[in-house]
Amino acid sequence: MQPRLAASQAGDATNTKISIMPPDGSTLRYRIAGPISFGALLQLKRDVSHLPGVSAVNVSPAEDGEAILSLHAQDSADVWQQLQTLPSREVGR
Amino acid sequence: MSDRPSVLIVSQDAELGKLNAALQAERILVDTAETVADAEWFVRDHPNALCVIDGKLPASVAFQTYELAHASDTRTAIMLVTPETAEQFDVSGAGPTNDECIPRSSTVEQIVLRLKAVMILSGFDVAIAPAAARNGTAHESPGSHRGKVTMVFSAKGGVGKTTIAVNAAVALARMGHSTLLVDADLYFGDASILLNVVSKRSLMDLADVYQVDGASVQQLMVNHESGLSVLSSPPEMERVETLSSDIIVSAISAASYSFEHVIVDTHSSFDETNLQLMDLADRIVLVTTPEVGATFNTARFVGLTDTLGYRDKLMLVLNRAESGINQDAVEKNLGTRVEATVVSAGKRAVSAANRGVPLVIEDARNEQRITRDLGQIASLIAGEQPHSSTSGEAKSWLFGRKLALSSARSA
Repeated sequence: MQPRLAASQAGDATNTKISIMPPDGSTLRYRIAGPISFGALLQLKRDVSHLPGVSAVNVSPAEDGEAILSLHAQDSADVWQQLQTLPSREVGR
Repeated sequence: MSDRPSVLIVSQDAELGKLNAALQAERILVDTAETVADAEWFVRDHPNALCVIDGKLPASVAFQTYELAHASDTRTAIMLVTPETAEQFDVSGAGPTNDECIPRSSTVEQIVLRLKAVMILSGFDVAIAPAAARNGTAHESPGSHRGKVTMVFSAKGGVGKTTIAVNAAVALARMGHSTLLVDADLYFGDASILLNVVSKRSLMDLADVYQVDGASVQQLMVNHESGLSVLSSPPEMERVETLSSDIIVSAISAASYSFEHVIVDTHSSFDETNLQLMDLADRIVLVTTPEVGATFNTARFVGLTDTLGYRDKLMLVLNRAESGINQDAVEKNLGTRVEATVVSAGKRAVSAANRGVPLVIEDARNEQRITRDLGQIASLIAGEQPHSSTSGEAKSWLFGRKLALSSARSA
């Protein structure tokens, strides 16, 4: 299953694929398909940090321009749902 | 924005040391960090710092640095991208609008120029011309005309130097010459008092200017009713020592491209500022009075001008000419010709000073002898009357200067 992060701004229809990775202990992890610009990653991190019930958000660039999103959340299913509808100015290309 | 522009270069590549040196030459505060932790220290103290991120950094370090750069809304990131990292650093459509990507293969000069452009966008006062083009007197394009710089100096205080400088400057302005009067008597200058001009701006403001150029100096000037422009001495004595002689001399040099005449009033001292001004000046109006003390010190100074190679610039003015030793004796003692005399008119001069009205304005019809004498000095400066200093042989400048300073200090 590979949902998309929706672009909120008109004319900015670039979407990025996000997939669930195995958690690392209590840390939830997601793979962001690349290549993704640093500006987009920073925006994504800010947006995710504002989600309710989410803490300790971290974004780290990985191989091939991909990135790993990691966070702590009380309800992983709820976070996953929110990530799919997350408004992001531009998450990738 | 008043703070000095600062740049943090985040790189693990020693090759970028050249960029560091080039930015320092531009008087930009610059530091280099290899780790995010190091970078945090710098940006904590410099909230507006431009962060230059090396595109060759490991991606995780580069991103953390990018994140750090944008932890403050006023900070901008400049990315030195390689073909491999160009997409990661791509700023089109995302991120702060002032971010820039520069090919890492660019020359240091190109990178510096781009950084300066971003600084200007961020509100800093930055000169675009490279540092190499701004040293010495090269403030304007080679074809631009430089006005005459006249330094008014005396070897002893209280001989009427400022009165002569102010009145000569006003007279020049009234003769139709674009003229600037600079009060370079930094601690005790009172030219603005004699002209009754009030300004919150002064030479002191140059200490806060990133690049001293014609435009920055122009902003500090005030206009006198005569048409004269005035650059006042600092009102705060306690800050004067922070104003370097290089800044003062650069300011006067830069201003000389905007005026036909720059008259510089000075204090009676052989300090670095005055020495640099003597180097810069086209003419040194040396004011003395017919008294033993003044003549003695003036003779010593005239002797030094031979050694320093300034003799040809000298224009000796004898103030209060008829009130002491006669002119012939003064000339004999000094070994140089008095080119202009100013009659003693104590009460009139003091009264004019107290009212802030220059004598040449108060007596616009030149009915008084003192006004004509002061006007004569202006004519000499303007070159409307021939200048004929006794010429001394110019000696080796550097050697002579050291020798002279050594003698002066041991005297």
